[in-house]
Amino acid sequence: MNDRNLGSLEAILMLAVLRLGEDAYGVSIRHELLTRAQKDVAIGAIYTAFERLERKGFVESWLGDPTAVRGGRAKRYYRLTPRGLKSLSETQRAIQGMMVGLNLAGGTLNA
Amino acid sequence: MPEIAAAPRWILFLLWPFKGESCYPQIEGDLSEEFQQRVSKHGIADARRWYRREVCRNFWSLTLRWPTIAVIVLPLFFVALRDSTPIPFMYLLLPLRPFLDPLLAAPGTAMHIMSIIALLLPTTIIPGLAFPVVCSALLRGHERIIRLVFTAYFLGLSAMFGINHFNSLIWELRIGMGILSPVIVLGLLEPVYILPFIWMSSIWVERRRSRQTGDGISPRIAEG
Repeated sequence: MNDRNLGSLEAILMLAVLRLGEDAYGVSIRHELLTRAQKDVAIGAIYTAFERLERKGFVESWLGDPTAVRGGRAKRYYRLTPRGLKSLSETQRAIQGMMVGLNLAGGTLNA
Repeated sequence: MPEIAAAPRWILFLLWPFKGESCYPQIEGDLSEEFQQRVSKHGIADARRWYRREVCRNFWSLTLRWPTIAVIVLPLFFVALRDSTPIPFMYLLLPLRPFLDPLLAAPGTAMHIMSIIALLLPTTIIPGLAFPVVCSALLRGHERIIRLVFTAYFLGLSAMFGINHFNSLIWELRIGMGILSPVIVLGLLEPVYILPFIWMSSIWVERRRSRQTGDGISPRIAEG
């Protein structure tokens, strides 16, 4: 598979990171997916996708401070790399191009 | 500072195989944080239910992905490799016969200790120590799953061996031999003498790696 391609979960995760800015970490990303995309994704699946994105060079991460409420575990924050931003923009352009003239409201193809 | 509610952490045993992975501390931390949020929003009973359900979901999402599937398949390959190599290895020992023969032909013993060592070295000790190291090098952070998979394979192989030799076992007991032949005993007890080497080697690799990378937990805050 081409390393520049984005899966749908990967694209949604990158958009969530973009929207959350400096506060993009596991819990906040999961909430963003739930409220905006109505996707209830297991946190393990989110980290697996992020590992893939990091390998592709689309996101980078760093550890925050550990807190007691997290049982002493640190948060892992994410941000998009310029390469990731470029790939996301290409995906957006491709989807927008393919969507022209299509109306998929309600899960059916409307004329 | 608000009181911190206790999550049903016992269910985390399901995630034990994934504890060596780099994302594990974050998964556990996120679950704890979201649990505390749920306690204040929906109450402790709902939060505990959610926590148990999420741990189960995470178990499946971490199991059904290619690294875990590779971890399950790779040890199978090594076990098959090991089972096909002892005889060529034995031929390599042939030049040592002048030294081994007097030992192997010790009077009064059906199978001398030296011949057992000669058999165990290529089939047990070397693979037992080497396989977890090679598997861990290929699939970093999955040492616990590798241990579990090897354990399951060798217990399964031993059970298969027992089933295949069931008739000769019964036959030997019926005619009153009393003592089972060494080949059958060695086959049945294989997990007993190979798994300690596998676990020892795998735990050594895991500890060495976690010392190098750290696991993202702050002991000071965790204790607090």
